[in-house]
Amino acid sequence: MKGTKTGVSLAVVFSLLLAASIPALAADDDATKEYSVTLVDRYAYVGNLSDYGKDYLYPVIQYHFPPDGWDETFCWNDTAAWDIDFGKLTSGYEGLDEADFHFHWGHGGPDQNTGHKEICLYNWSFGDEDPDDVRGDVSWDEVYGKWELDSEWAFILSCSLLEGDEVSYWGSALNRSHMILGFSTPAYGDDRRCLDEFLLRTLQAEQTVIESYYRATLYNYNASTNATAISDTLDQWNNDHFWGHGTVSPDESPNDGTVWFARWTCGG
Amino acid sequence: MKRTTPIIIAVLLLSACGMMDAIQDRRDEIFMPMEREYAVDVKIATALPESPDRLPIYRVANISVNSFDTDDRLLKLNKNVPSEFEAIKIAKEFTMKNGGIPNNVSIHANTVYLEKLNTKTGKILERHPSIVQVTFGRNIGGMPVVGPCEKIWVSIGENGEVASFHKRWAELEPAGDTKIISAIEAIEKLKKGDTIYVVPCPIREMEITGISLGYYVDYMDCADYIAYSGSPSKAVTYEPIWMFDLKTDCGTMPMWIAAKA
Repeated sequence: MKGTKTGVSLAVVFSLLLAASIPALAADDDATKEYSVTLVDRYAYVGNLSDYGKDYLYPVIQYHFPPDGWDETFCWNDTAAWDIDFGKLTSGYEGLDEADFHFHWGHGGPDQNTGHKEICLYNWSFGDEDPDDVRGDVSWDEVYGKWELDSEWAFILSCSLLEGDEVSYWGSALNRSHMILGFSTPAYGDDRRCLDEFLLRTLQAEQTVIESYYRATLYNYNASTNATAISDTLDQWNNDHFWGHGTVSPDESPNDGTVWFARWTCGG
Repeated sequence: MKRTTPIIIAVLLLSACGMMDAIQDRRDEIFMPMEREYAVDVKIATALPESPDRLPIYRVANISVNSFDTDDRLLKLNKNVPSEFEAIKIAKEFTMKNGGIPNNVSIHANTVYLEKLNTKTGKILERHPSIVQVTFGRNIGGMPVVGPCEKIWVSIGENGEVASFHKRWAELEPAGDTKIISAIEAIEKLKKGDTIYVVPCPIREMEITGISLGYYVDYMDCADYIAYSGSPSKAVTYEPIWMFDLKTDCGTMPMWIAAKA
């Protein structure tokens, strides 16, 4: 990260380019703006990611959220990122479900038995890891219907997690939570720039979450990459902004078991 | 790294996350190796191209930015979105009226659909075209320029309306040339993972299905140039790269290798 100068550069560019709208603020579940982070750069059995998450992505998160009044509920890296951090429990510690926004960086890969795409944690071993290992993986059925506390938006920057039918499996996590932002192919592009642009658009230009994600991925990933967004309701898809930057549609209750989604070819 | 250093690692790790409070105590940090080499099985399933000894490089003389967004009209549930053929016509006409279309561009169009899905059955309940995304990219000497620095993106929505227009385009000037590594040398760099971007996919096997040359410019350099026009912190250059098309156990994907020797 080139640091402040780059951040200022981008802020200047976007403040010139984008017109801000200031819709009304809706009510947060717990009246505090919180984010959480998991970064898995290092792996015991598969290739490492060169500390890219810690060195390049986490500074972008820090650059944008705290100055906007968001609190960090946790940031776990590598061996400290466990499956319970992804909201698989519905009482006690609920991981990402205790924050409004969650960002995850790390491999996505197939489970050897089910073939379903899963989030790969430190001990992931090509889908053949111990299912009881807290540092193994996170699969869709572990979070099925579980995101119901404070979570609104989860940005999972992992390859192919939302490929094909996986949208319906991972989408089922959205109980009262609003959105999952991810990819349905390998993600080849400028991850740092994408995250930075997404947060500039949501927090400074005050665009909707969907529009921000669409533009950030479109402009920063190669045309081989398909980005995907899933929303629990159409109202959330159309209207959700980050807290303090526009309207946020209500949580869906009761959960009707449907989601809205789109996937698009990027063009950077 | 020695096994006697887990505490140091843990401290560095927690510092990296900006948290040092008591909640961290529950995590049982374990020995974490530094970078390891993992053998990736690479197969070549395409002819190796002849590589030129040298290729020109270019320096940015100016970058023009022309952009507008219509608020909240992207990715909506629309009823009357044009075909990709029609959308390209609309995008070309619109771009001609807004600064023109540069020479030597390639054009791509993709329709984005908004779909309603039953997560219990996996059945698609509704499917609506939302926008057609048209993208113009530069070619230099028949080679594509890749990366997010420079493109024209036009989003066409309901009734053929231009919902978004975003153009970043550079004026280039020659900046000499550079010696190019061969395709074989580039494959060696590929095996070592010496690629322009990191890919969050665990790859064991890759098959090279295509190899070609292109140009790449780093976006951060580009943004720096735009923000500090006239006094950028360094020259922004378009430099040659080797572009690989790969089939991997993680899916099909490109990977790019700097071609400068």
